[in-house]
Amino acid sequence: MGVEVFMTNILLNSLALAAAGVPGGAAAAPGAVSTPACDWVELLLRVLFSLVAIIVVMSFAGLSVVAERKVCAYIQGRYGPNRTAIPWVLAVPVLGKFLQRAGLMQLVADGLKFLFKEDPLPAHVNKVWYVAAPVISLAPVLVVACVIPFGVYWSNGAAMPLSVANIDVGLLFALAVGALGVYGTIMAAWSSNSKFPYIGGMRACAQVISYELTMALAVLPVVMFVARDAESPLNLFEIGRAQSASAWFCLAQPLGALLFLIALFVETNRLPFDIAESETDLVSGFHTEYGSFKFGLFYVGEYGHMVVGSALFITLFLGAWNPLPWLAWPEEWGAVAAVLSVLTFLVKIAAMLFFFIWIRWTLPRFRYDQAMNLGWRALLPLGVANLVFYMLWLGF
Amino acid sequence: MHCQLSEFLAPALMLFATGFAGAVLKKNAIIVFMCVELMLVGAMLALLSFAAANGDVNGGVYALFVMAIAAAEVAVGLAILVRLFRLRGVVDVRDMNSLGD
Amino acid sequence: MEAAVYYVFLAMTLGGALGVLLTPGYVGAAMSMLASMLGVAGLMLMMGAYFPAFVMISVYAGAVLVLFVFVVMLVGDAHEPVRLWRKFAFLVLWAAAGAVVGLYAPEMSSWAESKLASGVSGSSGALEVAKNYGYAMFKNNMLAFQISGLLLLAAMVGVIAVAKEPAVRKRRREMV
Repeated sequence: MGVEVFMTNILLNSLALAAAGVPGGAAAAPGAVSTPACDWVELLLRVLFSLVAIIVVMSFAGLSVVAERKVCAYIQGRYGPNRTAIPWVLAVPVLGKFLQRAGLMQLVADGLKFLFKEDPLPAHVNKVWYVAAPVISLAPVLVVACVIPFGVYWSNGAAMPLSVANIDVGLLFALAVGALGVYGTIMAAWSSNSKFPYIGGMRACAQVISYELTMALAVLPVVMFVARDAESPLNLFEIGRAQSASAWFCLAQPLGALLFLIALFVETNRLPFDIAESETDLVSGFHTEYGSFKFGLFYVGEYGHMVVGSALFITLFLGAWNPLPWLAWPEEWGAVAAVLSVLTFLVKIAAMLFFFIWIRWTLPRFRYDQAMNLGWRALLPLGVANLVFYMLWLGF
Repeated sequence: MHCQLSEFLAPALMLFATGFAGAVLKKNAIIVFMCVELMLVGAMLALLSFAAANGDVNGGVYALFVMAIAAAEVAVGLAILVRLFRLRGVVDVRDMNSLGD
Repeated sequence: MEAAVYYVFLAMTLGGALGVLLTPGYVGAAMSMLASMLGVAGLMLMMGAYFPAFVMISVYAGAVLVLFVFVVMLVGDAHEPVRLWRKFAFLVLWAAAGAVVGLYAPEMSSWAESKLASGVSGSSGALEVAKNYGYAMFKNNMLAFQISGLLLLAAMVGVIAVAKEPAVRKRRREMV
C-alpha cells in the first residue's frame, strides 16, 4: 500500500512538474535563454532537473528528521538516537562508529518501519480522499522546489540561475502553489470522519486564511525594492541578484523579514503555531487517523515544506546564494563560484532548518485564539505599516 | 505563445453555463455560491482569452478586478450564510422564504 | 505535447465544474471546484497570462475555497442526494451542450476575431510580462482600481458587521 502511495506521488509530481516546466520554458526571464517548449529533449532534461531538485529537497527533509531528534535531544540534555546501526557499516573503522553516534542510520530504520508496517484503512473514512490527502500535502512542496534558484552560474558574461524553471512570476508561483498544501490537511481532516481531525482541519483553514495575508504583505516591499532596477521583479532569480554585492533584504527590511518568518512558521505548521495538530489537546490533529506510510508522507511533507519555505526565505531576505552582505562570489572564478554559490545556499538551508528546530524545542505553543489574535491584530497591521513605510521611503 | 481563441472561449462558455445551471437548479445556498463563482470564473476566462487574442493587457487587468469582486462577494455571502445558519439552522434556499408569504 | 497539456487542463476545468453539481457533499463540491480552478489557471498559463493565472490560484485556491471549506466545516457537511436518473439526464444534457459548443467554437471564434481591433488573434506577448499589468492598472484603469479597493473595504466592514455576534445577545448569554 505504502509503495503505491509513493508511486502515485512520484507520478503526480512528474506530471505537475512537466505542466509547470513547459509554460515556464517560454516565460523565462529576460536575460535567460528561452527555448521552444515542444522540444522533447528539452522536456526530458527538465524532468531530470526536477528529479534532482526533488532529491535535494527530499534528502534535506530526511536529514532534518534526524536533526530534529538530535537537536531536541541536546536541548533536553539527552543523547538522542545513537544505537541504530547496519552491521557492515559499523565494521568500517572510524566512520561507522561516527555514523552510529550521529544517528544517521536511524533515518533508514524509521523509513523502513513506516514502509513495512501494516497499512490500516479505518472503516469510517472516506476512502478515496483518505488516501489522496497525504499525497496532496506533499506534492505542492516538491512543485515549488522547481522555481527556486539554488545558485548562479555565468555563461558569456551573463548571470544565469541554477533552477529548473526560471519563470517570470516565480515568487507568485511559490506563494500560490505553496498554499495548496493546506488542502492535504483539510482533506485528511475531513475524510477521517472523526472529531479531533475535524477540529484540526478547521483550525488549519482559519490559520491559513489569516497568515496568508501577512505573508503577501511582508513580501511586497521586497518586490518594490527589486523593481527599482530589475525588469521582472517577481522573478526569484532577480530578487536574489538584487542582493548580491549589496545589502540583504533582512537588513534593509528587518520587520518584513520577521513577519515573513512568522507567517512561514504558520504555513509549515511548525511548533509555536502547530495548532492544527497540537498533540496536547487534539491527540495529533488532522493526522490522528493515519498510520504507516501515509503518516510518513505527512511527516516528510512537513519537513519538505520547511526546506522549501526556508529556501524561499533565504532567496527573499537572506541574500540567496551570496556568502555575506555586500559580498558576492566573484564572477572570474567561473565554475568554482557556481559550485560555491550552490554550497552557500545549501548551508543556509541547513542553518534555517536548525533555526526551525531550535524554535520548536524552545517556545511553547500558542493557543488557537492567541494565534488568531496575533495574526489579525498584530501582524496584519504591522504588515500594512511596513508596506506603507517602504512605499513612502521609495517615493521620497 | 500560440493562442487560438476558440480553444479558450469554448471552456469559458461551458464553465459559465455549468455555473448557471447549478445556480438555478441547486437547493443548497453554499453550492449555489460556488456555482456563482464558476460563472465569474467563466467570464474571467473569456475576458483573458480576448485580451490574449487582442494582445492587449487591459483585458487581463479586468480579469484581476473580477477576482477582487469575486473575493469580496464570497466573503460577504459566506458571512450572511453563517449568520443565517446561526439564526435558522439551515442553509437551504427553499427555506429562505419568510418574505415570500 | 502542448495539445496534451491543453486537454488535461480542459478536462480538469470542465470535470471539476461538473463535479460541483454532481457530488453530494459540500466538501466534495469544494474539492471539485479546486480542480476546476487549477484547470482554469492552467488554461490561462497556456494562453500566456502568467500573472493572472497565479493570482487566480492564490486568490481562489488559497483564500476563497479555504473560506468555503471553513464555513462548510462550521455549518456541518450535509448530503444532498441527487437521484440517479436526474444525474444521468443532466450528464447527457451537459455533454450535448458541450458538443454543440465544441462544434461551433471555430465559427464563434472566427466571428469574434472579425471584431477584434488587430483583426487576427496572434501573439499575446503583452500578457506575459507581469510589469505590464501594473502599468495598465495604474495608468489606464486607476478609477476602476480605486473603486474595487473601496468595494473590498466596504465588503470587509460589512462582513465584520454581519458576522459579529451582537453585543446585546452576548451579554444575555453571559448572564445565563
